[in-house]
Amino acid sequence: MSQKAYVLSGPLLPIWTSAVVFFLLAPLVVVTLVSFSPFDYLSLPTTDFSLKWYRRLAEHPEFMSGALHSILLATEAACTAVVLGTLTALAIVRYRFPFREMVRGIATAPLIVPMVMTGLAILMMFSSLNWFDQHFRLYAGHAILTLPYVVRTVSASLTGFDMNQELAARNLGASPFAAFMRITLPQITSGVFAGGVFAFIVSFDNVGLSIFLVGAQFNILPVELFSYASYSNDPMAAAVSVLMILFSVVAIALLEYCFGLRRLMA
Amino acid sequence: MQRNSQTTPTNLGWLFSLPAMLFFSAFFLLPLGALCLRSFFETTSAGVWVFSLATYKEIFTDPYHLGLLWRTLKLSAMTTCVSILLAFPVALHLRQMSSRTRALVTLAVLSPLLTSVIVRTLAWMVLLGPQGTINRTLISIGWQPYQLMYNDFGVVVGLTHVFLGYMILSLMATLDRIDDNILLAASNLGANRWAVLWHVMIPLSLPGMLTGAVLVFTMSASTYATPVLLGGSKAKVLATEIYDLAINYLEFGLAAGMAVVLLLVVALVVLCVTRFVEGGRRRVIFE
Repeated sequence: MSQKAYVLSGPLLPIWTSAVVFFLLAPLVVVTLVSFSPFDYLSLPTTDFSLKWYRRLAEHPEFMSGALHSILLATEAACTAVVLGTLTALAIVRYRFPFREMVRGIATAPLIVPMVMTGLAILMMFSSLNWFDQHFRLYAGHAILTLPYVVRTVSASLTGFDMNQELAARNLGASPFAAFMRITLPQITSGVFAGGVFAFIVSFDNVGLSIFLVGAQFNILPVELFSYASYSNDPMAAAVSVLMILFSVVAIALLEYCFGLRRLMA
Repeated sequence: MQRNSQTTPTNLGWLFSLPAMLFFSAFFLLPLGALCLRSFFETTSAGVWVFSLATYKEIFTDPYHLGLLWRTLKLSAMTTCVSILLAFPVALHLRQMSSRTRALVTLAVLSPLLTSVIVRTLAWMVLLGPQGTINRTLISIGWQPYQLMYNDFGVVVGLTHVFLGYMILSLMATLDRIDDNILLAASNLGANRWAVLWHVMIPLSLPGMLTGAVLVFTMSASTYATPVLLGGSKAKVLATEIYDLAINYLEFGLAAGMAVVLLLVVALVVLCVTRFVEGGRRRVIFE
């Protein structure tokens, strides 16, 4: 990045940026501190720190089963979104066909349609069909919700791809499938992978849609945490949060290490 | 204009998009269509479905439901404005940072985006709660505690924290693309830094600002968890009411109607702003 020629100097901008970064990060620090509180209410520990709330997690198996369900669900949804989304991105970017704009619109619509509406609609349809498989209806909802992210990242990496390379491979005798697998796919891997990671994170984090579709047989971590936080006021929720933050820190570190976060979010 | 001239007009496009479109038809388009239909029908005492606008009549005449709609719009608009105010100077600052600081600040700004919304909302409950960190500090220095949560203030703070990163990203995208020579020209012609900011930088960053505003507004308007946890029963919005109606009262018709209203509101905002952005671009190009 080259240095800009027009620079606004003075203390105002640095102060403002520091304040905003503080606003963004301070709550996460506070929640971490609170999770080590020895008291039964949400408070900052002042003198002694305790692991009491982490130990108490053992009494709440619903968090553990919720976490396992979340990981399973996010994996299933992300895999589905990666396969369907990559194919859709290929179709949209590389081919001209009738209703292409409509396909693009439909594939990105879940970002615009309010999640509560999607959740309610799926719930109403499954109920009217007397289909009460909570795992499957969550899977359907999450696959829909995460597909646009894959379409977006894969489209971005396909747009910069020079199609002549694949034509060259075809001229040299490769079958269309072999040309795709050995020339195109390796070059869009980062887009596909980034889309998959995004899909996983979006699914793992989702409450707005899931809250309509969960149930006693299949509940997921963010919804468990949400219901716990809405009726009780102790640092247990903070302890679960810290574990979730740790999980994201590892994910972010991995992403940054593999691809560079900035490039992925742009 | 499509740059890729070798795109082949074959049926493969259909074939590739077919699986996703089948999946979307079954679990997205069909349910949404059914939901919209459902909001226009009600059952009579004989158990027959008849066409009726009763749902919408109730939503648009009952002061309680109108209040929810108004509060949803108000909270989303407030969140959007606060986000723009907070994000603009940061994006401005990021533009002129050395690449190392820039990477660090970007990471700090973006990492909350990858933490669970629930976790971040919980953090604000710890800070803003009646027994929370801020109020305890106030009491310990001899001040009166404030009601910081279970009201509009708490919800706007929480929503801003959740969505601010998107605004910063959108603003960065346009501010970074501004040609420094334009800014230098303005300042050489005698504009002071505020004039440059007001007459050059803000107008040029308008598309990014509006994109960010659309993102923040639509997501704020349809978020469920943050208003429930930070707003409680006092600051209900459309999204929370839709959930309550459907899950707690089994009023699916009314819930469906409100979901349609929420979608229309969001779609209207997206449409207006996209028009505005496109109009603006055209003007910039032709002037």
